[in-house]
Order: sequence, then C-alpha cells, then structure tokens
Amino acid sequence: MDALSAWLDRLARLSGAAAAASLAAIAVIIAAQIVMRLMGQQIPAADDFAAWAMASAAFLALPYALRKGDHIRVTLLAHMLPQSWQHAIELLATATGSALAVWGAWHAVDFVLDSWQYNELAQGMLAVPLWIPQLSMAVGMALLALTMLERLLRVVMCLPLNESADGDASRTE
Amino acid sequence: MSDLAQAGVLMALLFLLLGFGVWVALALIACGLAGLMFFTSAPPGTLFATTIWGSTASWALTALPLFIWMGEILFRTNLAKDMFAGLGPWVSKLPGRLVHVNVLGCGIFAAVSGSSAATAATIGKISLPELKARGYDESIAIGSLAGAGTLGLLIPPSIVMIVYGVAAQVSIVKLFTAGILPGLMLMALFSGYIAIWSLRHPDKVPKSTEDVPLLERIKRLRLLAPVAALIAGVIGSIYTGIATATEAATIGVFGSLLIAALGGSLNKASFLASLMGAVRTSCMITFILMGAAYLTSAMSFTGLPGNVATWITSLGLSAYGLLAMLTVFFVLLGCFLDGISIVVLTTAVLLPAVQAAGIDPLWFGIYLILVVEMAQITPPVGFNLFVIQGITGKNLFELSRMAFPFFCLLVLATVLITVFPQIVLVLPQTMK
Repeated sequence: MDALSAWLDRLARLSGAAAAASLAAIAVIIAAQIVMRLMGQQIPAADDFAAWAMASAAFLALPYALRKGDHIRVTLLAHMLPQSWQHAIELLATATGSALAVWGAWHAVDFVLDSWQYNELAQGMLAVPLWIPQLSMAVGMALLALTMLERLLRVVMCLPLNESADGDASRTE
Repeated sequence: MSDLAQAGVLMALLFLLLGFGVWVALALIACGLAGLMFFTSAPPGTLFATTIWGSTASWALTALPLFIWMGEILFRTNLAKDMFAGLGPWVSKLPGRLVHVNVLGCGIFAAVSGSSAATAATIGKISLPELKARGYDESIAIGSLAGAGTLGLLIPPSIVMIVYGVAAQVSIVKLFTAGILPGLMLMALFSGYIAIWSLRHPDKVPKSTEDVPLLERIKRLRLLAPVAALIAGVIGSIYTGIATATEAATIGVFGSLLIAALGGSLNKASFLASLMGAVRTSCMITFILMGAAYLTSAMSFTGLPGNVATWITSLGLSAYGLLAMLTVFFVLLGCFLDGISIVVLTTAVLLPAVQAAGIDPLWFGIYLILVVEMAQITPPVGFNLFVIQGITGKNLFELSRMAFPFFCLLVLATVLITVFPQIVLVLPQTMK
C-alpha cells in the first residue's frame, strides 16, 4: 500500500508540475501575442494554443489538487455526526466519488481515442490533430480516477488520508 | 413524471450528495448524469467528454488562472504592510481612524485580486495585529475586515465574475466594468458605518498618537505607487477596450512579478509557490465549472430550467418580488454552499427564469456577486470567516456576529442597486 501511495504521489506531483508549466505557458503565449500585435504581426493559432494550455493546466492538476485536499466539498454535516458514523459517511462519499471519476475517465479516454481514430483536426489556422491537446484530458481524468481509488482503499483500510489542509485552499474565492 | 417532480428529484439528489460530502464538482456531474439517464435518451458519456473538453479548452477561461496567479504573487509581497503605512496617516482624522484602513486597503487590494478570501487574508494579517496593538475595539476591526474583504469579489478583477460570465455567457469585460461603481458605493457604506459607529462609541477608538506631517505622508504614499500603476494598467486597459480580460490578466501577472522583484520578495521559492497555488486554486474552480457545464447541458436536454421558468412566471411575481424571494433563497443557500457553487447552480437552473422576468443578465451578475459576498460571511460555511478564524483563532459564530452589521450593509447595497439599477449599468453603457 505504501509503495502504491508513493508511486501515485510521484505521478500526481509530476502531473501537477506539468499543469503549472501549462499555466506559465498561457501567460507566455498571451504576452507574446500582445507584443507581436504591437509590432503589427500575428502568431498563428495563438488563441487555440492558449485554450489548450488552459485545458492541460486544469486537467493535469486534478489528481494533484485532490491529493492536496483542494477540491471543495461540504464536510459540515459529516463532522456533526458521531465518530462511528463519520467513517461510514466518508466511505460512502469516496465510493460515490470513485465511481463517478472512473466513469468520467472511461468516457474521456474513449473520446480522445475516437478523436485519434477519426483524425479530427483543429478548425483554426493550424490544422493540429485534436487528440494531441486532448491527451491532457485523458491523462488527467485517468489519474484522478486512480487517485480516487487509492483514497477509497485508504478509507476502507482505515488509513490516514494525508490531505494537508495547509490553508492555501481557503484563499480560493 | 411531472416536470416539477423531476426538478424535485434532481434537487434532492444534489443536496443528498453534497450533504454527505461528495466533492461539489462530482455532485454536479452526478446530477447531470441522473437527469440524462432518467429523463432523456441522450448518450450521457459522450456528452460528458464533449462538454468538459469544450468548457475547459476555452480561451475566455484563461483569464481565470491568470488573475488567480496575479493575486498569489501579490499575496507574497509586502503590499499589505506598505498599505497600512501609506494609508494610515490619511484616515487618522476621520472618526474610526485606522479602522478605515481595512476598507481602503481591501478596496485597493480587491482591484488587483479577484478573490474575497485572499483580500481578507492579505490585509488582515497586517491590519488585525496592528489595530489590536493600538487598542482598537476588536469587534469593529474584525467585522469591518470580514465585510470589506468581500470587496475582492465586486471590484474587478473578480474570479466569481469570470465564473458567472463564462457560465452565463455574459461579457466578462462588461461585468468587470459594471462592478466598479457598486464596489465604490459599498466602500462608502462600510466607511460611513464605521464613522457613525465610532461617533457613538468614542471610548472604543483610541486617540490618535502619531501626527505625521504632510510631506512624510506623501512620501509614504509613494510606497503604493507601483500598485496604483498596476491597477491603472489592468482596469484601465479593460475599461478603455485596449485589452481583453485575458490580456489584462497577463499584464497583471507580469506587472505583479515586477512589483515583487522591486520589493525584493521575488525568488525561486516564492515564484514556484505562487504558481503552484494558482494551479491548485484554478483547478479546483475549473473542476466545478466542468461539473456545472455538464449539468447545464444535461438540463437543456431535460428542458427543466424552461419548466422552472414557466412555473416561476406562473406565480405572477413582479421582478422585485422575484428578487426578494431569490435573495432569501440565496442567503439560506449561502450558509452552506460556497459562492462559486451558488453561481454555477443558478446559471444552470435559474437563469432562464430570471431572463423571462425581464431582468438584465449583466445586472443580475452584479446582484449575484453581492449575494455571494453575503455568503462569504454567513456561518457555518463562509470563506472569509474561515480566513479570519485562521488569523485570530476566534469561534466562527462570534466572528459572524461581529460581521453581522456588514452583512446588513450588503443587503442594503443589494436594495440600492435594485431600486437604482443605473449604479450597475451606467459605466458599461458608456463603453462602445
């Protein structure tokens, strides 16, 4: 179990780092676009690239944010219940979450496979095969499902969840 | 099954899932899935992948992580300290003295940050200890910080406005512009209340101890010049139409990196921390937006929002009556749900009804922001209260009692923009 967790931890961190690079890429693409426009030039399909970087920043960060305990949930009611109930509720929530994440990952991967098989192309100025940017969705959703399942395993085995609530998530809105 | 029963089943499912702690984004997805499976013949899986890809790979959405990143960078600078030193001497003659720094500081930080909790955290970590050390009354210091922190949502840039704009397909640039006057009005209301309160409780506000000469005051204000330039650059470029919201956000990111570098707080560690913080926060919000987009498209297959609209129209309420009813509903919802969830649920289910009642979606966006601001300071779930709890260690219900007068001022502001909608609409109308 520990080996599995450590391995997933590394994957989630790697994925999170890729998401961070994508976010920085958005800023760079748009800054380049502004500069080029001031010089009377244009970057082909810059809007598309920014949108794809947005998708990869969001999807690839999904497992990382889950491990950090960032995704919002209402824990108030569960905390008001007696201790013995809390575990059952946590199990129910994580099991529901896992089922949904696996279902979502399945369809996300299927969607990208279809896009690859039918060789769908971007409509913009550069006819990029769409499965390339869409890969971030398949990878992010699949890793999210894996992370959820590992969490489920932990709850079933009554292991600690290691979700560090370090206060960063509370600055969200 | 009748249409209303359909709506009832889905609502019950949603609140059940949320109640036992399913992640908000996944609960929204589950609701969309249930709606599609039980009430339509559309393929839920294909629709899911198409919708979440379409809603996330979006150029308009890039403004969201960029503005969050900008706030994260500035959060790690000495901005709040400079603000306290720079603004303090100017308000020391007003009744309430340094308490006004909460309002002014939050208002200024709100103009570079899109988040209410970040605004309260940034200003509060400096102002609360300073006010306490000088013997100011705790309840007015904390209450005003809780209230003024919510300006982060109303004064552009604003994360929740981007969420609403993307979900309701209202121009983000227009929403930002529409938030300026209500934001200034709210600052005036907060400061006015602080002044009146201080005149009635002169014993709770300490006497001014330092008399800073004018020259020194102006010198200290120079500390704030970089921020002033940043605000002018970001809001100015949006309002004059030179830049889109995304471009303004990019200017903001590079501008705040420059401010951090000049102030000596930019290094590899703080840069990476701001980037990772921004990635996590924007991922959390985008995930909810994905869930909301799926729920919205599922809803349009079921035709349920249209039915809700018909039902609400059949009640024969006036626009005022409808808004009064909605406000009560949102305040109750806001006790338990976070603002972003409230906004996406509203746009998924209620927007057609609102439009059918002849309410302008741009105006409604600002109204919704004010309601969400109330949700930030109502217990038991209120993000500003959590932040202030983190700073002061006080009990949540004690904090919300201190924030209650400012909650009432938010209600007053909502009434004012309802009676005088021009407060919201006049600036966007002057844009081309």
